[in-house]
Amino acid sequence: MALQVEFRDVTKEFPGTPPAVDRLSLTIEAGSILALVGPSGCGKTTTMKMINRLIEPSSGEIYLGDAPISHMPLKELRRMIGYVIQYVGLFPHMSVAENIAIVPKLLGWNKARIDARIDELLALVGLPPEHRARYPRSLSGGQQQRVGVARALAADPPVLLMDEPFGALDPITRVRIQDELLAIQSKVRKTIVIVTHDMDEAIRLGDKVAVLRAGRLVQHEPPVDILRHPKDAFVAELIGHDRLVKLLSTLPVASVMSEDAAPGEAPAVGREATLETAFLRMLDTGRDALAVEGGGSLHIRDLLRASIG
Amino acid sequence: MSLYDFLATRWEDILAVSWWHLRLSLMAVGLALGIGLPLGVLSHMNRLAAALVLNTVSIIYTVPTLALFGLMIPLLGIGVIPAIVAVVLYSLLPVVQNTYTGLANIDPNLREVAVGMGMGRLTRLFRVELPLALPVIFAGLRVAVVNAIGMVTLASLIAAGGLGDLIFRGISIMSWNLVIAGSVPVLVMALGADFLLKLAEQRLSRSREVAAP
Ligand SMILES: Nc1ncnc2c1ncn2[C@@H]1O[C@H](COP(=O)(O)OP(=O)(O)OP(=O)(O)O)[C@@H](O)[C@H]1O
Ligand SMILES: [Mg+2]
Repeated sequence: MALQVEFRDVTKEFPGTPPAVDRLSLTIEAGSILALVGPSGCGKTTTMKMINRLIEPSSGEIYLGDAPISHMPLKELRRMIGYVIQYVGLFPHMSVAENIAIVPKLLGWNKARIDARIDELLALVGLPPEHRARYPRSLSGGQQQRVGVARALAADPPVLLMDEPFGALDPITRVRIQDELLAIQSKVRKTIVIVTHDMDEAIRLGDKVAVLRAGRLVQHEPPVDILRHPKDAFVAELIGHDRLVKLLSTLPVASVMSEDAAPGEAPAVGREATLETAFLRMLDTGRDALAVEGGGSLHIRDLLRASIG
Repeated sequence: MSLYDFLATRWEDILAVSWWHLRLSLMAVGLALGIGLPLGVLSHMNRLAAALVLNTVSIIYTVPTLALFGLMIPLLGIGVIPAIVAVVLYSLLPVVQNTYTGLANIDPNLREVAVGMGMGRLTRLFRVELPLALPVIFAGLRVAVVNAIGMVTLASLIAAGGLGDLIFRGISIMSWNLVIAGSVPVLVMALGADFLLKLAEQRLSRSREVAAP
């Protein structure tokens, strides 16, 4: 189950500073991932924390499904929302199992149900069942963050909030755990809000990317559209000079291929492979066309269409 | 009489007095824990309470221990009860202060996660905050126990018994055997308590490093 999250004209002002979030209207479709991205201090965390009411808006309203969250009982709301933070936030005095069991216990589940759920979640995030009894300090950063995700998913909440969840991980672990998150999402289909200041992460993870600047929503579109048409110089700079390479690495072969047959002996490429992979294969083999597995072909001319869409 | 002969004839007495001494000390610290822990928690939850409680216990702590026993006489007379009250008052500071500090120094991220997961105030206190503060509270408890074992020696002055009886009688009749028979057990108990509680403290923190039993 997932629920839509909608911001309607939400502003948050802290005394003595310009608004941290300024008249934000934004809909996060049920079961989709929104990546909130922007420079430090632009209001990402504030935006996210208003969803589980760790911060109350100064004006405007946020809806969970059809319900305005300001009218929902606070604890009930929070138990419906999984929460993952950067510095892991696992409780060091609780074992992995105890950490995961927190919200189910708060909701009054019985022991058998909690135990079964813990096993299920450890399997989902790819940790061996023996890790139940371990304490967080004895786990690697990546393992801890997997437990963090398992804990947030424990009571099967419709919404998941993640504030720079992978920020402290090394780049290799980071990419792996991003892929794992996407695999998990394809099974659980939650509404996920993930805060990051890394545009690459936003592009990899987001069904849509919301770019914030000084509390204002600058652009809110699927990653491909943001890569194709950055709204202004600020967004373009966030993306970086390799915007088109990122675009190629985001789009699948299927998006621009043609149905024409490939010339004989053309090297093969999968339909779901990225255009970056395809392009590298062309450079590698010195051929200007590839045969797409399952029929059709990709010519180097087709790549030119990628940036237009 | 040689020390050896002295001990050979009197060891049962000495043991009994030591046991009483230890009981007085532990009773007082137990009470101090029962009173000080809630006071520490209260101070953590309320600024006004914090100012009031922390200042009061610090002031009590600055009264010299001998004077504290003296002050008990006009208030409560002499005997076991005033002696225990004096030791309790004196033991409050390490308990209250460490409870307060332990709770205040919890990683704010962890507190926020607890709130964000939908824990109520009390659930958070018992499931998250107190367990996280436990090592610091435990260190305060250790200080209190070691202090109390030393301080109870003076309880003899207001007729509450304990090893002070042996030491002060020994001084007045100039029996060094008696003085030694009184002070060595105090020392051994204080060092022993310190050692054991430190060990327990270490095991407590280490148990959180690896895996649950
Ligand atoms: N509790 C607070 N009191 C006052 N100002 C605050 C508070 N929390 C945030 N702010 C201000 O609101 C603005 C937005 O902060 P926020 O934490 O949402 O930024 P962020 O985008 O998450 O930044 P970062 O990438 O550094 O985490 C900042 O200017 C910050 O100083
Ligand atoms: Mg932030």
